[in-house]
Formats: sequence, structure tokens, C-alpha cells
Amino acid sequence: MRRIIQFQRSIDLLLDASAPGTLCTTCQLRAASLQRRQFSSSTSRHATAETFLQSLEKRLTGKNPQSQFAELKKVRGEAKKELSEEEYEAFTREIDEAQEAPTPEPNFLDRDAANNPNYKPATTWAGLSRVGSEEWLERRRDKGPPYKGWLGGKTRGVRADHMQAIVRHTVVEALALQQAGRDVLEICDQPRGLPDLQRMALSASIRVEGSGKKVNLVYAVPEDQERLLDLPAATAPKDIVEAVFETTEQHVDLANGASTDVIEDELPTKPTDQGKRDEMPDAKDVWLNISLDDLSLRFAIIKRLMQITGRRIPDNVTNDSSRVSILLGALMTKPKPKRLNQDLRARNQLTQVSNVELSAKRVTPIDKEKKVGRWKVIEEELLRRGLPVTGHRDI
Amino acid sequence: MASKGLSKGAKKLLDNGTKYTSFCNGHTCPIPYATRSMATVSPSVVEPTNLSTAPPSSDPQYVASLPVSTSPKPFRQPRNPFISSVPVTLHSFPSMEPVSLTTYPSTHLLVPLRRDILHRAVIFEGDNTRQGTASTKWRSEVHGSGRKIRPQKGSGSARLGDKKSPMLRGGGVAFGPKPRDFGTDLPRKIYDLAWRTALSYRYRRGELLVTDNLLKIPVRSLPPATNLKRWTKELLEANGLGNGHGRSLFIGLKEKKNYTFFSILKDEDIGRHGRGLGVDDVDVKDLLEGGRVVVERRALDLMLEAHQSDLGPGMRFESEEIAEILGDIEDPEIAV
Repeated sequence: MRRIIQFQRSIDLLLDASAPGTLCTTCQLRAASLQRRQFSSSTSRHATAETFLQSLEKRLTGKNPQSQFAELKKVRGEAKKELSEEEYEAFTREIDEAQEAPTPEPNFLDRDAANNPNYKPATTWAGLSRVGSEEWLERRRDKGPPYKGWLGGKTRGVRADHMQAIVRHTVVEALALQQAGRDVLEICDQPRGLPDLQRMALSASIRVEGSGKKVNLVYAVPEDQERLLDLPAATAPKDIVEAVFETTEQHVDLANGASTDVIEDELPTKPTDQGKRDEMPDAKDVWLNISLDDLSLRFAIIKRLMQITGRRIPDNVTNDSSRVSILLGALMTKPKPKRLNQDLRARNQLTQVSNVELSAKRVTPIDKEKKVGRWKVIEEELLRRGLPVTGHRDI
Repeated sequence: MASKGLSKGAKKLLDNGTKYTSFCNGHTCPIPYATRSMATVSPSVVEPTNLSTAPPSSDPQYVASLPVSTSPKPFRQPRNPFISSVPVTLHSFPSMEPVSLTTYPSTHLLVPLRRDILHRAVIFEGDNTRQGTASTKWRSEVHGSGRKIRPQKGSGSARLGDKKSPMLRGGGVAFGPKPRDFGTDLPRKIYDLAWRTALSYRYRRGELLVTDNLLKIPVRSLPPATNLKRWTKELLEANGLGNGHGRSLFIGLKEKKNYTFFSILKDEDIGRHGRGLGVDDVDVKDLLEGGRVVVERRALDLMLEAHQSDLGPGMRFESEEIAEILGDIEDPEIAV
């Protein structure tokens, strides 16, 4: 991905939620205006009636780019109600075309009063791009690609019932490959999240004999066995993961009122065998007792689960996961909160006690003064006397 | 009955007719296994009393004295049930993709946590790191004469000798610090055990990441105008190795000056996310600091081989590649 240099950004940044940044006034005006309307970001000095589109433009030129995007959504809805059909179509066409159009090169001549009769110099710095800092110089010189790791950098919260379905179908696919004599690690290369394949995997029933070491897969449809192994070519990793989540939602039975708790972020250090009782499947589920003593099978399943959930599964969990139930318990157990106040709030302890207050940060004497309302006076007096407000004065 | 002198466990073992060596008070008894009661010792069966010092079978004198009846089975050390192997995932740097699984013995990466041993090792390292150069002048070293500044009696004030007394302003320091060696000794075996305990502590908490290849940034595969600092920062943040996740210690084989990744970590801004050390510069304290340890596989093998003096010869870890590393100075892969 070519790294977009800041001064070349335009309306695409306003409409693309993933790219923060401010826009120059010219680009904002192009987005919000119709062809024949004239807009100005400066304060109006005359008592003119504000048109609807002028008010839209004002709302879109907020300071926070995130709020700008949220505002644009609202604006679309309101524009639909207020404007006529033709005007609304033209309005949305402008925005859509700008979204699809390639990033236009800014014409700096437009910013010169001599060339552009509509040019008005800005009175505030809202919406103007900043140039000249060392970071800006470094960004300009940087022509390299962004780092792209294997995990993708973003973890996603997975529901407990989805996690069970994901683990189950991963185990079935791995066992299918193993029993066919193929390399179990192929599970990570192929787009196994495709709907048909997942349906085949989830519908296969598992029969476990002995202490979980001998596993037989019985497919609902006999042809599924061959089709499960006959895999299409690999696609982008992101497509694999997204497809897995989409199809898992379709297959999980939501009518049973399964738990909607989302498991966030990192794994805990100690995996428990059964996790939480109300989230775990029925203990009679035989697939939970499948043995993972075969390290190649264990590694393949864990790598695939890392790929799907986006969470790194540490080696201690790999070591303890001699059975599928232990691995599932580790994935479903919520991590312990890192801060004491988070822990107490999660367990609802001391929150109801009237003389106890939980704080996210260390309470300093300044916080206490602020609470009482005395801090403003103290700060003003210190500044008046030329004394340091916080810290020590350099001697 | 001969079995009266045996421990409960030994009796139980003998009664079951198991083929394990009997144990007396926890140590191995030179009593071989038996499948019958020891009430009567048949004169035809003469078992050697100490199997470990049994003479070789080629000795004719020994062979002549051996009975002809049931031949004694050779002594077999039972498998230690507490020793197993632990799996370690090998990752590919810089993508941090798990590429394979290898195993290490539990005597090296699953050692029980002994905080007291870790404490001793950290204190030992700290003591030996001390510069010990604090120095003061005692009364004999302060510049000045030894003249008695006032008479012994008659002045009405306290008696004083020279003006260098520590009681006086400008005098020497009473027993002040002098440059000395603060180093202490710690038995090597305890230090080695502490080293492996620290690694095991990290492993148990899931804070030990092992890379299969060297910790090198693929500079040649990136465009020349790439900002390596920005790229490294993204690498650390994307993999949860940076400041927001408790920082990381990266351990490589050698910290050479042109080890690009380590030199970037020395930058003021990027240094907040982690630091890089060569295997020779790592301490037990370094292993315990920070959020996690990211170590090259060969560096880990080197550390484990170098710190196992407390283990017996049968339990030592040996890596085939380490011999190559120690012998091959001009390894092109190490020379960045």
C-alpha cells in the first residue's frame, strides 16, 4: 500500500473511517457543496439566513475526524429528508464519486487569491494541514510499506458459543487431513472458512474410542469426506478469517440463548479444564475428549485457532492442552484484569459501599484539590508568583 | 524375615512382584528385585550385594563363583516420572508466524519456581556489578598537621588533638567508605539453576517466545527509502511486544554493531518498547525484567547448554548446532 503523504489527502480521508487526519478547506467544500453553491469557512459577518447545505458543511468541519465521519452518516439521513430527490441524488453522487475517484493532486494555485476569486484566507487553523515539523519531514521521506505481520495486529472478541463451534470444526478438519494421510498443517493454508466446508465439518459426527486417541469421523453425507479434502486455492488470510466468522454465526444455534459474553484480548496464563460452567458445552460432548498427544496435530490446531481468533496462544497453554477440552477452556477463560480497580468493578466488590471510591489512577493531592474546587485558585496564585505548578523549578 | 528391614514402599513393591528396585528411606538399595519371599535365601542363588561395583563378567574368578541357576537380570534404572519434555513454538521473525514445534526437556524449561534461588542469583549479580569506587578521606588522609590545637587542660573546652578529627568541621570522615570489592560468590550450580528457573518462570507464564531465525530486519526486501524506525515500531506494536504490553527483551547470538534491529532498539523513541542483548550480556535479572523474552533458538540452546552444571550427565541438554556455532567464527548468517 503506497503510503499517502499528508498533503495529498483529500475528501477520501473524510469518508474513509480508517484514515484519520484533517482536510484542507477546499476538499471539504467539494464534498459538501452542490455545483453552483459557494461556501466559506470564515465567520459570516452579515445576517444572512443559513441554508441547509451550509449547516451541513458546518457540521462536517468539526475538529474531530471521527466525529466528522459519524456526522456524515447523520447528515446523509437528514439530507434525504430535507432535500428534494434530485438534490439528494446529486449530493450522494458527489460523495460516492469522490470516494471512488483516485486521490487528486491538490492544485496549489487555487489557494492563491490572484488565481481563485472564491479564495478566502482562513481565520482559524481548523481544517488546515500542518507542515514543517520533523515528524512531517520523516513521513514525507518514508516511502516504505507498512509492517504486515502474520497475526494482523487486531484481535477480535469472540463469543463463547462461536468459540466452541470454531474449535470443533477446526478439530474435525485437522482429523480429516490426518486420517487421509496428509500434512495436518495444510489446515492453515487453505480457506477452510468457506460455508460449504464449514457445514461439512460441523455436521460430521465424531466417535471417540479409548482414551481419546482413536477418533472416527462419520460424515453426514459420504461425499463430504472427499470434498473436505479437495480444497480450493488459498486466498488472502483476511478472507479466511472473515469467512470463518460469518459462517460460524450462521451455524451456531442462537435460539438456545447461548452466552453472549465476549472474550477479549490475551489468554490467561493458566488454562482451566472446563472454563466457566455456564459457557461450556455439555460434558457429554465426545469431541472434547479427543486426545492431542500428537504434537503435530496439536500444533496445527493451535496455529489455525491463532489465525482465526487473532490471539497468540502461548506455549504454556500448548503444553497443557493434552485434550481438546483443556484447549477450549483456555480459549474461553477470560483474562484476569490487570488493574485492581478493574478487578473490583468486575467482581462488583466495594462498589456499593458508600465510603469507598474506586479510581482508575492514583489519587494525588491535586486531584483532591480539584474535587473540592480549590485547585483553580491555587494554580492561578502559583502562576502569579512565578512558581512551578507541578514539579520542581530548575536551579 | 529379611523383609523386616525394608521400607513400606519396598515391601509393597516386593509383594506385587514388580520389577523396580526397592527403596529404603528414599535411596536405592542394592537389593535386587525378587519374585518370591525373602524368608529363606536359597544357597544356590548368590546375588551380588553391590551391583554398582560388581566385577566384570569377563573376570574368570567371578565367573567361576557364579551359580548356574536363575541368572540375575541386569539392573535397570526406572524412568524418572518427573522428567518430561515441553513443547516450544518456533516463530519466524519478523512476521512472528509459528512455523514449527520443538521440544525441550522439562529439567530446563519447567523447573519449579524457587524464588529464594532467583533472589540469591539477582543479589549475586548486583553485588558483582557494583563499581565500589566510593571513597572518603579518613583523619589520617586529610591534609593538615598533627599539631595539638589546644592544651589538654585549662582551656575550659573539650580536649582536642589535631584539626583532622572527625568531630571537627573540615576533618576526616569517621569510617567512611573506601574503594572495595563488593563481589560475592555463589555456587555455580545454584546460579545455573537460577538461570533455568528464570527461563522456566517465563515459559510457564507464556512470556517466552523463541524465533527460528535470527532477529534481523529484512532490510534488503524493503524499499531503500523505508523508515526503519517506523517499521520497527509497527512490528513491535502489531505483535504486542512494545511498551503497551510491558516491553520485551530480545536476545540474539551476538550484539554486533551492525545488528540493525538492536541498533534501532537503542534509539530513544523505540527504546521504550524493548531492548536487545547478546547472549553474553544477559543476566538472570534481565530475564526476569519486562513483559517477555524473545530469544533466538540457537541463543536459547547456548544458554541452556552453558547453565546446566547442576544436572547429571544423563540429563544434560546438548544441541548439535551449538558446536557448529562455537567452532564456526565466520558464519555468514551471524555476520550481519
